[in-house]
Amino acid sequence: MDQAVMSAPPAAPARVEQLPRPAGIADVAPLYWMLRVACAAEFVGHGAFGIMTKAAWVPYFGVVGIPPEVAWNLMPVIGTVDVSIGLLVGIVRPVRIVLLYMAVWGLLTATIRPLAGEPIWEFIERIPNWAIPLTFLCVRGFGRSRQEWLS
Amino acid sequence: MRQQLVAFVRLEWLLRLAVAGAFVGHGAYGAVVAKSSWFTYFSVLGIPESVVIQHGLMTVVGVAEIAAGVVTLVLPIPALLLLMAGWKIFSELLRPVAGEPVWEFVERASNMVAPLALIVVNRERVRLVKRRWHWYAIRPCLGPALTAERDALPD
Repeated sequence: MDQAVMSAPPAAPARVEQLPRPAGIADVAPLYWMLRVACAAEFVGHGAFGIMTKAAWVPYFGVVGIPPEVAWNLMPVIGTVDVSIGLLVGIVRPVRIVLLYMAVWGLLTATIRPLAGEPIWEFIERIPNWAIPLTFLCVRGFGRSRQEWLS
Repeated sequence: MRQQLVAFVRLEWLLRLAVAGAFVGHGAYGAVVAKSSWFTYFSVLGIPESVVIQHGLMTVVGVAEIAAGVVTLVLPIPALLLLMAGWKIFSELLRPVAGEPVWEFVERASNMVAPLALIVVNRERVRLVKRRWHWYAIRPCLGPALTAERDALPD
């Protein structure tokens, strides 16, 4: 008996990412779904304008040195990416790394407007475009491992 | 539990910033810029351009939105947030009704959801500190009052 106890391998210390997350705000279903639907709709709506192509977007490309003829071709690509990740988050799974991308992309697209000569209010009005995906990421909890960021 | 309270407060600040931004930014188009496309939205409601100009309706709406946004940033009141969410959904619905693509409405989902999400986070935080939540409750988000609430919680 003693020998069996002594030969048992020592218990491996639990890694942080293996520990269950404590119950918290992520378990509040209405909040989770509100944020999920908002993120999805924001990107599907924004992406739709890219697919349809919008003349107002041309100056935004100009800020980063992309000429109009290339901008018109890039718009549907950007739009398709936006719609795809919107649908991914809304229908499939709100993957953490995608939520982080949404927050960064939301901030960039809001920032580019005043840089393209539009009033600063365009940026201020669009604070929710990056704050809501960031809030959702905080609610889900930042990833503690590569696997968690991808889930 | 203290860590949970800190997390709630962080979320509240993020959402307060989002709501304030959505309302101050949008309100500025009425009060500061006097954006011409707003006349179309008023006309959808049967208010002609002449009446909007005569009564300064664009400025009134814009100033009201800016005021609501600033109040939320300083002291978020759940009842006001509910009103703001209703107003946001209503005013954004005017875009497709006025002939703009429906995506203009869909794209602004975050602006509409932010006040509602703030109500939920605020309610959860108040429940955590075992206080009574009601629509006119104003909870401290910084300063000694918040520190006292945090210190009263177990680790």
